[in-house]
Amino acid sequence: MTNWTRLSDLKLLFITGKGGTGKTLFSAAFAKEQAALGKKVLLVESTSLEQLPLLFGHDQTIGHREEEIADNISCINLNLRDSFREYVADHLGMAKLYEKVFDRAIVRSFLEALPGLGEVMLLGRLYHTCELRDRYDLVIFDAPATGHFTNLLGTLDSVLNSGLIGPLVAEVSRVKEFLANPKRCGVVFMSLPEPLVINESLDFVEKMQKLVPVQIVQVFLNRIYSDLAQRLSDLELENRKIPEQVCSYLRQKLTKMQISQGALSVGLEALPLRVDLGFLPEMGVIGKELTPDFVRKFLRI
Amino acid sequence: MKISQMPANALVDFLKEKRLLVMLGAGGVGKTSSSIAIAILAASKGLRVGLLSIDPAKRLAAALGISLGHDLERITFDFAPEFRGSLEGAMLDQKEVLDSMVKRFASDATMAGKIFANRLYQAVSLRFAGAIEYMALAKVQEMLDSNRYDLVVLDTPPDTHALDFIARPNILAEFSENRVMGWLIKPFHLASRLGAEKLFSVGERLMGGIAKITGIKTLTMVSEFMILMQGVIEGFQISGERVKSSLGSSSTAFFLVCVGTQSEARAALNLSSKLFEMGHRFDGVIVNRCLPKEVNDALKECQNLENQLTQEMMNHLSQRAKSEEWFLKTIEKEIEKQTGKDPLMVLMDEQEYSLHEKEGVFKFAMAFDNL
Repeated sequence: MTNWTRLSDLKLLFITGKGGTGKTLFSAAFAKEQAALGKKVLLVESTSLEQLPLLFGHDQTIGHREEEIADNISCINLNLRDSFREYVADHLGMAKLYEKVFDRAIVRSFLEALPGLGEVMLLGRLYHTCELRDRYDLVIFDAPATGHFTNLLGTLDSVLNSGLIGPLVAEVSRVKEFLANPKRCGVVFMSLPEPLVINESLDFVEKMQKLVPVQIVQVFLNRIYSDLAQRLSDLELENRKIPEQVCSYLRQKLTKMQISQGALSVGLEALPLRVDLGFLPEMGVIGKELTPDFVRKFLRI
Repeated sequence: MKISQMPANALVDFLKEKRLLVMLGAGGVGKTSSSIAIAILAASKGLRVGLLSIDPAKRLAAALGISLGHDLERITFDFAPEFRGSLEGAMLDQKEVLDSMVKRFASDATMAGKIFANRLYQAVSLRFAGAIEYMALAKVQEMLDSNRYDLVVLDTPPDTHALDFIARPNILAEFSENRVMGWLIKPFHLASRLGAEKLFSVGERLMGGIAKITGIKTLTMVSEFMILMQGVIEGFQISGERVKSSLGSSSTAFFLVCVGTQSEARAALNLSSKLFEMGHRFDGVIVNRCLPKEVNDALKECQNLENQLTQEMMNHLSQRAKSEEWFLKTIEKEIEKQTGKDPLMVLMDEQEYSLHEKEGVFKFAMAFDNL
């Protein structure tokens, strides 16, 4: 079941899952729905190829700045280098010095050599936006895929376990506390009705519950048809009107969806920590821009 | 299972001419499975193949019977006696990789010991940006140099920006040009050790400023860590140059692995353009999870149905078929435009292969062969 109220009451949502499971689509659709209810939403991604703005008909690249792309919806594409620059320039007030010393290549090398530094800065940036700037009611991070995401969130503990001390470390501690607060932050995990994806999803949810400070609040099985049993029987009734290859293909697909749903459900129940399981429907090929009608059908409101 | 528009054995003939095949693509498209499949196929045709894979889920390693690590192990298929090929594989693991790099490139055993004992290293080694990529590239160069293999197949990590992987040797060169170490770390480190009150260079002042907020002890620890690691990083620099040259060689091929969905199309085209800007190009495209041809053909004969649920599913299938066709045409055209050559298009049908078992993996590999 999906506790939509719980999701919309949070301040910061991370949307993750294996590649291709629908993280971007869900992030955008949920943002659009919440914005329509009057909330000020910030959509966040961190990528070399921006995808979110396109779903709102916004063709231009946005980069590392908050830009309004629709009513009540702003978007930003965070990168490590600019998060670091903001920290040094704004936080430390050393903008001029930064410009003199850190050119692009140096920053890149610096961040490369200091593992996790850029990631810590990025998470700090998110924390600031949510807690200290208070410009938005909801921040949705269309996060990287599971492996990368787990690494990103794990950098906080790395710093805390490293023996480093000082104000930066104290800040990391505050950021972790914020992220670990189940009333403020949550992870939504996307999955698909494919055996390999289901297995990996279960593996990762369990792993993330140990390694990631943010609570996993929801798993979605995406691209699954509703009324599977009904569809299977309707298919049999229609089978003389449909070519055998198509019928057999659809039958296999629907059966696979049933099996996947069962496997995921059972697997999640076996986990030490409870996670809700919700379902999102197959929507076919998506048009370029999200419409209110699409959002209603997809989120089933 | 089909290879579209390609003369028979085109894929195998192509592989026979190459020494290194780099598989690029986003996560979740079957890159690791395809890498293994191509390696098995090439080996089955008599080539001595080396496979370097990076499988975060560890499942394929388990299926093939390879233990994790950077040592190459022979992969056998006892259930297929007709397979006479030579295939060796290694499955790189993040955790193990950096430790081996330190052992290999630290200036001596004492230095290596110091690094391992460094608390910061222990905390961050798992996150060392690019460790697995550096190791993979160093390993590839070793494999090419050894003359043990006719073909090396390199899988790439799914979650890195694919192109950063190829750009690694360049990134390392920037670091080693002593800018970070020379301007920032070393002077600061020296100054703090001497207890210097005045920091002179601009770099020193900046680091001093950062030290105020991060804590002087923190920055000292960090700078010590970086100085320790410098040897390791610069040790790689030497093979990095050679790797760069191997990547640019005409006996190196790049394959794009993808699926034919809408969102994939944009990412795949983007990757292709960026790769071309870097001076490389895709020679082939493996498109996984295609709608089977017989389903696609049969769809065209369908009439409209009254049953809504069934009609909805049929509509989705038709949309998908159209979208896939558009994707295939577009990616082929785009690559041909960039490179002047038609890419090898390998279309793999959506099929159930039990890829958690060796037999399943072998079957999948044999499907790449259009006999």
